[in-house]
Amino acid sequence: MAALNITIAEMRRDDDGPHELGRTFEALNAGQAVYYDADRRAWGKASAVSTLLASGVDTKLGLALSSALQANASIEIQREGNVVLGASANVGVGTIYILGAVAGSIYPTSDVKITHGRTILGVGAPAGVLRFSPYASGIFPASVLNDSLYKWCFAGQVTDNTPFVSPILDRLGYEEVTFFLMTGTIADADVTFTVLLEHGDAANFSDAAAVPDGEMVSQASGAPETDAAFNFGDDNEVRKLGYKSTAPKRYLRLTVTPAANAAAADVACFCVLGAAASVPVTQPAA
Amino acid sequence: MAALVITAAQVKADADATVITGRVGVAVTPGQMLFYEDESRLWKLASSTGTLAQARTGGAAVATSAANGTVGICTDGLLIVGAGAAPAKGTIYIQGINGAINPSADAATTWNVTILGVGDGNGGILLGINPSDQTVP
Repeated sequence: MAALNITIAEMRRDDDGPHELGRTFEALNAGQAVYYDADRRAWGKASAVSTLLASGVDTKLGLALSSALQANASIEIQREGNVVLGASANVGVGTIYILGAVAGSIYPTSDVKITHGRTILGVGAPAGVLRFSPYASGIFPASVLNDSLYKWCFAGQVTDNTPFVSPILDRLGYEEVTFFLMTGTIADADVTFTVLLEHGDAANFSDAAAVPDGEMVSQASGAPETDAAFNFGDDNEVRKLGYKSTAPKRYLRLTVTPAANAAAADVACFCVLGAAASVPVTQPAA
Repeated sequence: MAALVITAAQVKADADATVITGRVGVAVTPGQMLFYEDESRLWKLASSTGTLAQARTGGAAVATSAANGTVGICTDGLLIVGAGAAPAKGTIYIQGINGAINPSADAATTWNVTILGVGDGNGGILLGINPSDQTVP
């Protein structure tokens, strides 16, 4: 299916559900889902892929009953109750409708994507009616786009046994931590690389200690750091190493150390901090 | 999909959830969804395939009781159903049959649709109960 295609001329309020007049901070159309931005003291188009606020968390949600051609226009907003969206909208009786990715749009739940915040708008009723009863859960299911933070660890080339060492990473606010290692060309004929994950509670890592195997997640079934290691024959490959969500420490550092290396070896690493306590996560450059 | 299979011992209301006390007209176990029957003034198993009144879910039992006993009923906030049931993060759950909780994709012809809430992926359902009084044609 797709977003409800609402014909403005067919739309009207159907009962005495709460409604109010408000000012907009952008142009919008009747039939679009809207949220109230307290900082701007105005209404705008709600979205399931923007901020928590725009998805309706900790603010008011509504359905625009009139259109605003520009910002600072006045509109009428339905807060709850039946709204006639009209025959052209093709509302499904008993269908649950949610906030969509396109700002202001209303989709059936069958169209939901993992990147969309779950804001329920209501249930379809006969005669093109939406029983509007918004509920913003604040839950963004995606574990890749919306609730993960990517951290650069290292990327470079060595021609000796100089280790690759990540910055000290702070996992505060994230339940999942996974390191991804990538190799490029490894020119030496007998080099081996060992992987070491350390953790600590001090921001300067003065209490650093090696992470016990039981507090890591292996990419295979063996010892986690051994499974993540590689050697001269592993050109252009990837490895991963996880830190368990139940593991106790806040700060982490990953080190990859070559042994018997005498030629160019390209190694890179990044870390994904996942299952953020606060979503959506804004990705900085580093 | 299918109704969540709930391990009763894992069910509880989150500390910040709203829990009321009610007298039940049937035996209930934790995690079963209940509606309030005005005539008897008792809580009974909510169901999507009974009357519209039976689909007007009010909350979830968080304790076990025989008929005529009292139980805690979680009406709002986070209902923890546990790792056994494992509600999926972002899945919208609706009232199922005879107290059950089903994903919204299970809504079938003749079901009276009542939204229960959204799975948090951590054993919980964030309740936002909304009986629509609408029947899937």
